[in-house]
Amino acid sequence: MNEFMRQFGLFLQAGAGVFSGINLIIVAIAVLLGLIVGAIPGLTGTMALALLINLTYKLPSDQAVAFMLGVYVGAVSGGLFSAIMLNIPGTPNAAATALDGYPLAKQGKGGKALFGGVFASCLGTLISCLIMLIATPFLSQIALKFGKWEMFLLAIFGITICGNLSVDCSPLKGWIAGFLGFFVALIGVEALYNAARFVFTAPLRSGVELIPALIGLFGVAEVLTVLQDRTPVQVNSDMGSILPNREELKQLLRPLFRSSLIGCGIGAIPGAGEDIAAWLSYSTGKSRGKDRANFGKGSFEGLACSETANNACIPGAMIPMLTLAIPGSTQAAMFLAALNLHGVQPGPMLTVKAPAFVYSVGLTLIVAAIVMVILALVLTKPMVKILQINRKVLMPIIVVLTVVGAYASRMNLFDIKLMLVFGVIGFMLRKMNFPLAPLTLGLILGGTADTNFRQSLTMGGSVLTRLVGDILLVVVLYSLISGALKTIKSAKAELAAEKS
Amino acid sequence: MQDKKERNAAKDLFSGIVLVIFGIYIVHEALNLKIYNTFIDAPGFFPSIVGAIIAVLGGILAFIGFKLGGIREIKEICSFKVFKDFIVSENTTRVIILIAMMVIYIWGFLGRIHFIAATAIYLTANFLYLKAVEKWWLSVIIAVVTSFIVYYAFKFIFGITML
Repeated sequence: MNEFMRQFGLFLQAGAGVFSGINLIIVAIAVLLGLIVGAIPGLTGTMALALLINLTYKLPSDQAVAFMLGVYVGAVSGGLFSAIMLNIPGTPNAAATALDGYPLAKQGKGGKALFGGVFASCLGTLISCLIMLIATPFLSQIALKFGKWEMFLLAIFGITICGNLSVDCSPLKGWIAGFLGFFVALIGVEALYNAARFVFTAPLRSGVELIPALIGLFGVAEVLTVLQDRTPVQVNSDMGSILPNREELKQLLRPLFRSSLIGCGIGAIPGAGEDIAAWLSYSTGKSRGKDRANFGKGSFEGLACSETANNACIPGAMIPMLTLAIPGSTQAAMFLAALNLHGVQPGPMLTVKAPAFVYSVGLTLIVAAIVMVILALVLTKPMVKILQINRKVLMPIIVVLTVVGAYASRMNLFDIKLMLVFGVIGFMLRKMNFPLAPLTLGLILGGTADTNFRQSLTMGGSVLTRLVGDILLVVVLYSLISGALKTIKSAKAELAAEKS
Repeated sequence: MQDKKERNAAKDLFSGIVLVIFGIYIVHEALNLKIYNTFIDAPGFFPSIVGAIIAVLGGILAFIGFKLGGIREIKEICSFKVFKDFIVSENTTRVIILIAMMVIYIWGFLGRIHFIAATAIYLTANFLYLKAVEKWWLSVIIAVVTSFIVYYAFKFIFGITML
């Protein structure tokens, strides 16, 4: 009872901060900016966070956190605008949305599909937030029992599971990307003996800075990818009305709980991300949904499956990020980098050092989701004009913004050069079909894995007698074996196709 | 589809070989790092494992690429005509030029000339190369105005000490 009252007190304390006037304004602006950036084809949610982190450098940490969360929620949903109106997903997580959204737009129901998508996104975020608010304090208690061996295993689990779940490639490439991320994280002076490792140039002694690296991987690489593509943009101007009728609303609400649970669950898996959540929810809906016959032909239920899950992923991704400092998606990784920049250190000690923070995050996400629906109600039709923006003008300007973003975190010219190097590496890895999510996760977890692994080995065999560690070891081994089997299966299938 | 798959085999074979070499390099460098106490807590211990894993996984990737006809595809790519087509293809040229412009902007201009001038030159060059707007003078105006806006917005509104 005492613990319940303590948690309730923290909840109220967090609420007082979140619902202050200035915070609400910041969240509203952030959601709008997130929606705009997310709506532009080629600009992903991660890129939105990478670009807009610039605006938070001088903000107090609570306002910066509110701003980044607003951008996160807006950007994940923003992708549906181009998915529905252009059949070009603005973000990868909106790819499944295009399957039903675009046919709806062609039927003259574009306005209803846009608003319906945002509405489903909002409900997905709200349900997932409730799960997050209940689960996170509980998981934090478990996380406090994690020792060095368990932290090492978690890092390995993070990149193996993330590699296993990578879309469009075998787990093998995901794992390689993850270990490459580990290597990059090992550059610089290490923590135990202050020994310099792989320091190719003097500024690298302090290691590879996370923010310039992520801005390069997701900003510059995306600009190059978008400018390589010359797809002409044609917007269907006939949107029809915005508010769905009762039958359409029922269809939107039907997959709500299932898709929210899928989204939240996938979000909680390290590095899995919103696109996997959306596809899994869509394919589940396609096999079990009441309106499954119309999936792919313009079904509101299909649209809701994708949109509910990708936004429900956001609070889900916050669970491992807040409790273990392991981001659930690349967007969450960017958010983690922003938190570090503002002096907030997520991880097992967060609930001890800043016990109200989890509630602040949850409540801010709820506010952002509600603000998003209000903005969508007012701005859906004007927002469509953003899709016609000239990408050849926009992309070079984005390069300039990424330059400022990389520079501003430490006022260091070397960081801009580092960003460009990572941009080119990211572009080449994409061309070679290597996923970037495991690389990001490796980059974040590499230092933790190194230090904890060496320290736990010096402790001897005692680490293997702990129940939590043993369970994690089994999970890691299962993840490795299932990934290896998946790789072998996909190689055999390709070989059979090659022979035939 | 066949074309795309074959190219993937060549990509896998090539990237696999590069990864094997890179992994061996990491192991070599890691093993040369000083051992302070015992090998298992030495600075080079974990990187040597990471390097070995990268080399092994790269080897597996190269093997899969080889089995899927990577050698044949690489031979085709190395033939003069295909190589020439790749080098002079519009997409390759565009990416190389865009990266070159970024390199010149970041290495050549930033920190040496004022941010506004550097950015205006970079943007103008990009707009003209990409034929982003029809009139050349409009490219210059957009570039200059954007450079001023970015500089003053970040300097005075967001409080960042600009280059």
